[in-house]
Amino acid sequence: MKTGYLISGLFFLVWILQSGTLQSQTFQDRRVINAHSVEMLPKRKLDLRISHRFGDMFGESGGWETFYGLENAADILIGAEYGISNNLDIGISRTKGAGPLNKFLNGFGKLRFMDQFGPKAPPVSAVLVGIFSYSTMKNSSNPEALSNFKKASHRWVSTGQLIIGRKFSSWLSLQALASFTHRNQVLEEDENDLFSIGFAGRIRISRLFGLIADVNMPLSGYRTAENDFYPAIGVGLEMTTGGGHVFQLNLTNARGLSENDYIPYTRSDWGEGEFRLGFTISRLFNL
Amino acid sequence: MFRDQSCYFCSTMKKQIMCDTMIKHSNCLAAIFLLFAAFLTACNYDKIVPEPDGLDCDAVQLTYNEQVREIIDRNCAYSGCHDGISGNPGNFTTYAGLISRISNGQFESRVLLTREMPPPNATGPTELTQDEIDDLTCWLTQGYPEE
Repeated sequence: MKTGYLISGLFFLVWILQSGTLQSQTFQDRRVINAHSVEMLPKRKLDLRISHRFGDMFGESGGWETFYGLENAADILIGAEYGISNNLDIGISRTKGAGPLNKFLNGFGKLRFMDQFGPKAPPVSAVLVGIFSYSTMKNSSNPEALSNFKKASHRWVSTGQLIIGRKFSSWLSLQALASFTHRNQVLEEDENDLFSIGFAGRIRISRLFGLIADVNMPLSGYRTAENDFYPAIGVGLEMTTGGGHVFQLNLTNARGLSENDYIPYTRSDWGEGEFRLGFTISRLFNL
Repeated sequence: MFRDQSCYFCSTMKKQIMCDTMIKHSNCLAAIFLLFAAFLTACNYDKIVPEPDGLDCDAVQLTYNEQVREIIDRNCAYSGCHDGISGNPGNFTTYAGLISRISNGQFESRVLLTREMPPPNATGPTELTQDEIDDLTCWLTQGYPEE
């Protein structure tokens, strides 16, 4: 409850502090670190993306032996996204995956239905995202493995998200996310439906640099620290390298790169040193 | 028809901005809802319930030297994996190296419960056989004796 007051107080303070004219970008990139942002691709732009998450920096499998995780790859994403209109994006990607269900082909559709910088200038931007992942794992012979696919639908995981974001001032953008993840097959003690909430923000340092952070917390009695589940938290530095290309360095405890991976299966703990270096490269093309 | 419906919906919202954008994108919205609907109809709520195993650990006394070492060597401690020299965490070529991961619960959790080890990209076997799992389970229940 206290945190609720604190957050709303913070929002109010920022509301008061905000300046008059704003540049029209809420976030620099279509993603924050792990989460989608309210930002959209301009019409007929193609975005080629590569994201990488290395191994644990410290803890059990980090440290000098693996050169602080740089010799391991927790997850790798290669994908393309396209702006059908200024308010509708589609994307496909391949992620190696890091959870018990992995090797994903991911597709998403993203629709912006409120634009803070649109003609009517509502106070916030709002976006709906649907993310669908299909596991191409080999069908396991172990009846107790998640990759023992008894039905074709067991390979699918899907997440729907509502994202509401606002650029409060020239230097501060914040957004909140509400997500719903459905898995068709789970372990006995687990849940098929999972709600989660998230927050993300960007602080502009200069024209080229920005500090970014995001959090995603599953709302579930099962996904607790006692059961070795942790919220996915990321912090990072974003560099705009000109022409709409974005390079991002980050630290996060999430291993997976797909929503359908890191929302249900973040089991690494920042406190144990189980966070990793990651980067994202985004390159825009006109099509 | 659709346009009329969204207008009715919007007039109740009293928000002209949202109304306009919704009408403008009504086709997109309809498509996305259809997509969601399609997925919901293909929605399963299946759970993996472990079968009660008739595992009888009293039948045979297992030891590291007799049975376990061979399973570990074949599945985990071969060259390039947990061999103590290739940089992967844990040295499973010795009893001492193995029990350090057993006593902190890591071994049971990752090998027997979540079964993420051996991993699918291992150069050796990528899964343990049921017999191997049974042997390791019983060996742990018996207090993982060396000999």
